[in-house]
Amino acid sequence: MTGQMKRGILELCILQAIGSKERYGYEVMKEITAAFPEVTESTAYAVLRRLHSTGKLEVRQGGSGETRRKYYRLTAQGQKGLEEARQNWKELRIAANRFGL
Amino acid sequence: MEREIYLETLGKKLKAFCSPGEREAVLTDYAAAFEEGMAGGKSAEELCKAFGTPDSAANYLLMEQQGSFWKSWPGSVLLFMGIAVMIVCSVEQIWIIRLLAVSIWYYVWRHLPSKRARKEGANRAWRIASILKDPVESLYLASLAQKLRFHFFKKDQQEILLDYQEYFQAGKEDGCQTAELLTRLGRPEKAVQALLKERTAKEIPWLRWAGFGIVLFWVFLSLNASHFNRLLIIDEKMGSFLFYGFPVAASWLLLWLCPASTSHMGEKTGNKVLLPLYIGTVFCIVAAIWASASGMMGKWFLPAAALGPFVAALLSCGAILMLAASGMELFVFPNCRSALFLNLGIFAALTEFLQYLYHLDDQPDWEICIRAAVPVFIGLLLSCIWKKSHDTDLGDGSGMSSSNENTRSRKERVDHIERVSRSIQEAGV
Repeated sequence: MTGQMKRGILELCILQAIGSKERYGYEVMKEITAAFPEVTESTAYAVLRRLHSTGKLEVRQGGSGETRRKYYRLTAQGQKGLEEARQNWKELRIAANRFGL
Repeated sequence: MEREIYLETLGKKLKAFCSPGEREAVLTDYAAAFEEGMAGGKSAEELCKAFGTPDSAANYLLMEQQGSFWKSWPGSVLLFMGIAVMIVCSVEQIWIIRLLAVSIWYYVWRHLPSKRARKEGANRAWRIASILKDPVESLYLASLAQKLRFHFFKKDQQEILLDYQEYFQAGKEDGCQTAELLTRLGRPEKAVQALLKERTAKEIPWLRWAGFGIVLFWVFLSLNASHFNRLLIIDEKMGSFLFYGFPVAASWLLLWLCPASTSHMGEKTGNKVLLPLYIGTVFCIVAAIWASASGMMGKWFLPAAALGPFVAALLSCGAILMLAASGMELFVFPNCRSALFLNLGIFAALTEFLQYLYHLDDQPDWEICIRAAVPVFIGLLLSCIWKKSHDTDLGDGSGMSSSNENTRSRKERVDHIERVSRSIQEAGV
């Protein structure tokens, strides 16, 4: 998988994994690396971090005392991005199917 | 390895970069950590493994010292004083004032580092405590912190490190071993590469610093710009375009191109770090051609100039290149920082020659040559002193290795720490 394609798919999968509910960062990273074994959790974290910096995700600090927990959830912009990405993915799949892929 | 042998070996290693007082303080900290660990039921051998070999412990301390150097006030004072000395040396015509400025810088350089080291001592107890807690995790985080420096703002670095700490904690609660978590995370340099590919423009610290740099450049031109001022009087539009507008526009374009290059072009070349330098060089070549063409077309031409505007334009571009290189050494290539003063010295020399070209000084040729040579010499001297004091290579002691050797030795140090972390992991401590 090329870098650009991987980035796009990872972004879509992370947004999809978080979906409408709030998710713990560790869980999301674990889920992504289980689906893409060649991707390290650091790469998944970097994408997660970019999505947060660009305003597609928002963070809530949870946990108590020494236990720090960071929960991610979609913003309105993230929701819109997810819908667009889903649509693009659907179109791409239809186009690829025409070639028997 | 017994406790006494460990402390003795560590003491020998620390001699390369610590004063006797600092060495004593570090050894006392380690002795206290041994006592604390043994009171907690660990054997001396286990603790030695947890601390890493004396070599790795000394390397780790050296890296910490280099890392916190820029955050501590003496480090910043030395840096800005050094730059101020270079400006004074290139602007001030009176020799005794140049000499005085260098002497003051040398005096401050001789007396501040010990204060710096004492300040750093306060963090040591925490570091040793964290090593005792989980050496592999601590070394991974230390290696990550080392690689994140200069690429992210301090608050972003802290946030990333906290996220990784949280990851380790969550992973352990999930029943995973540290070794498994390390495999899942990948090597620290890969983690930083992934972060660099995904970072946004607002997260790049040197974009902000570049803004300050351009303002400083402007101020410097105003201070040492008798020839530029003359140009402004002769041909206001061309003068202001070439000597003010173009460097500013080129710098900004360069800086906005670099973030894009780190995430995409870098993937193909595999050599992201050198991209800004390549782009900077291309800009300087374009600047040379542009400025030369403008000069030869007529408006920007001074009949009195001995070598004509073509050479003057090249010298101007050389000066811009030197400033760009200085900025990159400061913020992009931390291993080459010692060459900063030499570059600024060459920059000052180029401005002297520019001054000569426009006959703004009625001085004989030999005096111009000496005036140009002095900042280069002082820059070289300051660079050597800087290199000797801050880039000391362990095991060599001379501290005067070439830039490549220095880069290699730094890489070796980090590799060494990673090897040690693997061996600790295998030992199951």
